[in-house]
Amino acid sequence: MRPVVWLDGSPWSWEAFGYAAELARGRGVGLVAVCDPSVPEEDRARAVREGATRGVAVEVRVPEAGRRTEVEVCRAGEEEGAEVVVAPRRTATRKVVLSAGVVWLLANAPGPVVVYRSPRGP
Amino acid sequence: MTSGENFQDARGRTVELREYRPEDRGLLLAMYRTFDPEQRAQGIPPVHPLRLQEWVDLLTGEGVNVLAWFGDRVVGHAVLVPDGAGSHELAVFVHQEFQGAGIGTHLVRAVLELGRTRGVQHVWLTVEPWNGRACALYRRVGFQRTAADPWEEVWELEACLENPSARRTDRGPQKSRSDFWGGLEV
Repeated sequence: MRPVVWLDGSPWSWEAFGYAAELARGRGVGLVAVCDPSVPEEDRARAVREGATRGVAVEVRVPEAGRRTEVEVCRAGEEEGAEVVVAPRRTATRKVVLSAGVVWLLANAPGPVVVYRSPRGP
Repeated sequence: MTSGENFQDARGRTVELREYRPEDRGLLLAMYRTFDPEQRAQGIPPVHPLRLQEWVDLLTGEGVNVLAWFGDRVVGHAVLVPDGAGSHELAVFVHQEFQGAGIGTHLVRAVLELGRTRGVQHVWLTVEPWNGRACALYRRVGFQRTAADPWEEVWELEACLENPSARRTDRGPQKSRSDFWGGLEV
């Protein structure tokens, strides 16, 4: 029952990662971080490292080339039977952008979807 | 612009447009503190007072800002914020007591003109498709819808501000935003 987080490398998704990691820590379980293919290797390593600092084992998954990340997030959520956590992106003026991927996830995820909005952001 | 431009709004009120100055911060915040929360769009303006201050400081620190004044009261705000990809994003807000009177159109034209003098060449925005009043405004000042999905649309200014012949044809910024949205080009 590991939570699943969608990590796209944006500051917003890193905050969502932190939230998901705290969820996992509270339950004494690990965390699945599904990374967009565009997320560089060092950021994937950072996810593992930041999980470790919280005592949370992070498994990083990256969808195969040409596959949509939201589908992999959905699959991971189904496998784990836990919620998936995703952060809407923000534009330069800080408008919230849901994106087709997030909306697809809302409609298709097998369980709860947490659309994480940072209490520190606008 | 810095000295102010006056016009009569559709209700006969004299409104002045001026570039934002740091000493205007308190009155700009005062406008947003009484902004109808139901009229927030895509999460802005923030409701929490501290978040609101941070957001206003972000926009006024990074962007090109024009305020609409009715007497000593700020009643509207337009801003161009650099998006980090060579373009600027537009946002405009008019206090609910002053909407429907043409102030938004004047504000947008003024901030685009000010942006032109600052070297801004390409402007885009995102808007909720059900915000008909905003969409009409953007169309009126020359924006075109370039990407859309059922919950968000991207509009871009029809031509570059500085030099129409330099209009982007590589779709570079649009491509990145399409990826960003995953939306359909229209």
